[in-house]
Amino acid sequence: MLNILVIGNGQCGNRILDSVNKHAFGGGKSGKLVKFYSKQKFKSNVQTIAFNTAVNDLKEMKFTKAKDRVHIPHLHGVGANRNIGKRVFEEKKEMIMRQIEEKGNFDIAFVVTSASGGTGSSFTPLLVKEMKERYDYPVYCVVVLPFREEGTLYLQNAAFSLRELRQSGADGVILADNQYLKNIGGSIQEAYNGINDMIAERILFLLDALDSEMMMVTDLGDFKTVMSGGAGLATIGFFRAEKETPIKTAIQNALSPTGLLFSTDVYDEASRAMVIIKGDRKYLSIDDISSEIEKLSGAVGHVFKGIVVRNGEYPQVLSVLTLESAHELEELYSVAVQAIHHEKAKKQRVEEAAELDKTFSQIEGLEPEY
Amino acid sequence: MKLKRIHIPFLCAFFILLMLGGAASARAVVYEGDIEEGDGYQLNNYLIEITDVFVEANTASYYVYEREKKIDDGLLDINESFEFDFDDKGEVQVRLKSVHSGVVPRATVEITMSNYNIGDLYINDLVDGGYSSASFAGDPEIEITKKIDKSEIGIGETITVTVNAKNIGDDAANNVLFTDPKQEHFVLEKTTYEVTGAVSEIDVGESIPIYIYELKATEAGTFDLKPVTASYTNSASQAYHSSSNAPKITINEGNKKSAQVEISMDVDLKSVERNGKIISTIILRNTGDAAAEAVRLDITLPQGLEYEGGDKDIETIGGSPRIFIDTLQANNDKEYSYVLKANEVGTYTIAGELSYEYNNGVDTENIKESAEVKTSSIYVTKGKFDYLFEQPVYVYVILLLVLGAVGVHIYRRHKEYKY
Ligand SMILES: Nc1nc2c(ncn2[C@@H]2O[C@H](COP(=O)(O)OP(=O)(O)OP(=O)(O)O)[C@@H](O)[C@H]2O)c(=O)[nH]1
Ligand SMILES: [Mg+2]
Repeated sequence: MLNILVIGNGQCGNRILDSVNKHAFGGGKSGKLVKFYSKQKFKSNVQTIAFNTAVNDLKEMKFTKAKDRVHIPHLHGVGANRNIGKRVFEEKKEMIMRQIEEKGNFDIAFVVTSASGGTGSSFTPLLVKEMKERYDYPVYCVVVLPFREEGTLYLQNAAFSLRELRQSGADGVILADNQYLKNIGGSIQEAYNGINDMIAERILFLLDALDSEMMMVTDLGDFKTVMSGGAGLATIGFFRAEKETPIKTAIQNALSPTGLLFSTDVYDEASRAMVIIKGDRKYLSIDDISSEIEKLSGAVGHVFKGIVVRNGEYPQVLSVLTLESAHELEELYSVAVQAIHHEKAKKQRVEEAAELDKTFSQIEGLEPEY
Repeated sequence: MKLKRIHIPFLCAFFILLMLGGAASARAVVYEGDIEEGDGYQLNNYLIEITDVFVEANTASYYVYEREKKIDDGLLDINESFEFDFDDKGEVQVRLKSVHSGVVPRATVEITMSNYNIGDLYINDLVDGGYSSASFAGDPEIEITKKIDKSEIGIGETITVTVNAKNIGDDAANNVLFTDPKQEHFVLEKTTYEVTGAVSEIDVGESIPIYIYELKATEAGTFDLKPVTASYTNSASQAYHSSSNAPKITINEGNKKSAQVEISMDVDLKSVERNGKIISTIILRNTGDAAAEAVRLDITLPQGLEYEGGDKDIETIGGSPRIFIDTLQANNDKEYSYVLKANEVGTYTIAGELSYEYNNGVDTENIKESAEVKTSSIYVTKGKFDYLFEQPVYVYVILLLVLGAVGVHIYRRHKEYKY
């Protein structure tokens, strides 16, 4: 049995963590009261921690134990300012690390955050760095990219935090893009919930698979291998059949844009892949699976495949794909650069105004002489 | 021995003769003395008159009268006697003992009586002047007639009784005292006329009213009215009795009135679930021809049924409903309903005790009636959730423990997730 740690940082990270906890109670449709009568169905020893500077974000959570919600006090939150966030983290580092320490020893850790907020995006790189220094288990980040229209500050934050994450020593960054997933729901809140549920479902499936007896290959070691490939960036695809579906179709769907969390052309951009197939034995035609996987590996490189037999279940397929290039990310960065310049220019103007002040200040203390 | 047997009847006969002879020979002297010529001696209604005394011939002639009627006459020598019958059985013997001359010649006689108790003589005396001066007491006879105006009536109806008395005797009746015995099966409704005390005299041929009154019949049947009796005396103070006729009267049942309260007590459901409601309807109907008074129905509810409420005329005494009606007129009915709650499983009947009274129009006192009623069986079955209450105690304990555990669990979880 694996010991798994899942951390959610900032509002976005907290919410996704809560969704993970909710789904662990069984099914996405579970009501608020599920925690009173049900038990979380983690296969592994899963510990969760939510960090936030905003106490209201922590209060909003419903399915995460109170003791797993950690408030990092700071007078006014960090207000999307990553520099303040970093300073707060440094100040409270020991307290934060003690929370993790207390949860015990782990085989693997995931840290979930938005790339663009203040708290989560500034805490996560520092936290990962700290964890990597202290522990030798792999730490993966699940990072949510902002809607592009959310403003220059968020774009800039996303750009910098992603770079810092790659430098932090994280064993991999799994991308989920709000912009890509936004067509999911009506209101922003519904869209958030829908996206969170998608991400949570994939994480849980992955956790479950990692701790399951699998035919063929794939275990934690294989996951590590997959994640270490490419540019250290990855995403996840998923398909769950609601009716009898040929396994080929299921695999194709898990690799198609509808199943992915981040916009990418799998056959073009992926460098390594892991495909986990779950379902009743009758759907699991080895020939069909093999032919479909071969198609992928022909384009991608190495593909790990795992099969989990579950009686009576329709086919479900999870794909983990590491990317050697990410066109979409480049796009984001180019927008972000513009944003940074824009911000810089703005700041310059402010500084020029300050310059003007200096000009005026030259005559400070002086009296006109006549 | 044979001889002796023959002698006994003879002996008996001898003694009887001896006794009779003794009685017959028991003559009592009523008078021994002189009776002057033209005078007489009266023994009750008999008068012995010495009409002529013939001193020279030593004879005297006599007449015997019974009242105004001469029944005997004759001429007696000295020591000669004659007899005449006195009343029914008695016999009077008059013997001439001697004759005497004087201004008015007289005869000495001895009058004896047999078969008659001398003490019963109310006149036993010389009558100066003889027959023409004698007075005889007659026999008054009061004829009493009891008349009724109707001979057939119904219960509660009245008859008028008229009682008249007439002296059909030959003597005045004195101190006439009438007695009218109390009449069974009737009550005296009204007295119109009544003689008070004794009537001092009713002359021969005189007729007087005695009573006029009304009797009310109280009982059916054919009865003889009791005769009125009278006791009176004649001028000689002799006592007489007479009694009236006893008229026959038939009393018919028909006309007594009565109240007849019939009751029906129903429930709307034969079977009800526990905690369910039953509506009971009561109809009280007077099918008689008299008004029922103080009609009261006491309803006894069994343990498992509880009175919940009903018509405002229903009062409850100690949880049991009661209906009281002052007067329920003939041919009237009243309906009531009330609601019962079934508290416990079981089979029940509701009992009612009805009582009322009425006046039958005849008797002064009201007649009381009572009756008992019962509803048909009501089955109270288990309620929907009753099985919950039928479990043994440990089930509740376990249930409570489980609930407690759930409570604790929920509280714990709540605390665990409450931030
Ligand atoms: N998918 C998803 N994205 C979210 C959610 N909440 C916020 N975001 C995104 O996260 C970004 C904002 O970051 P947050 O996590 O809210 O910020 P934070 O880490 O709490 O930092 P501060 O609030 O600035 O202190 C934006 O791009 C939002 O679109 C959520 O529930 N689901
Ligand atoms: Mg926030």
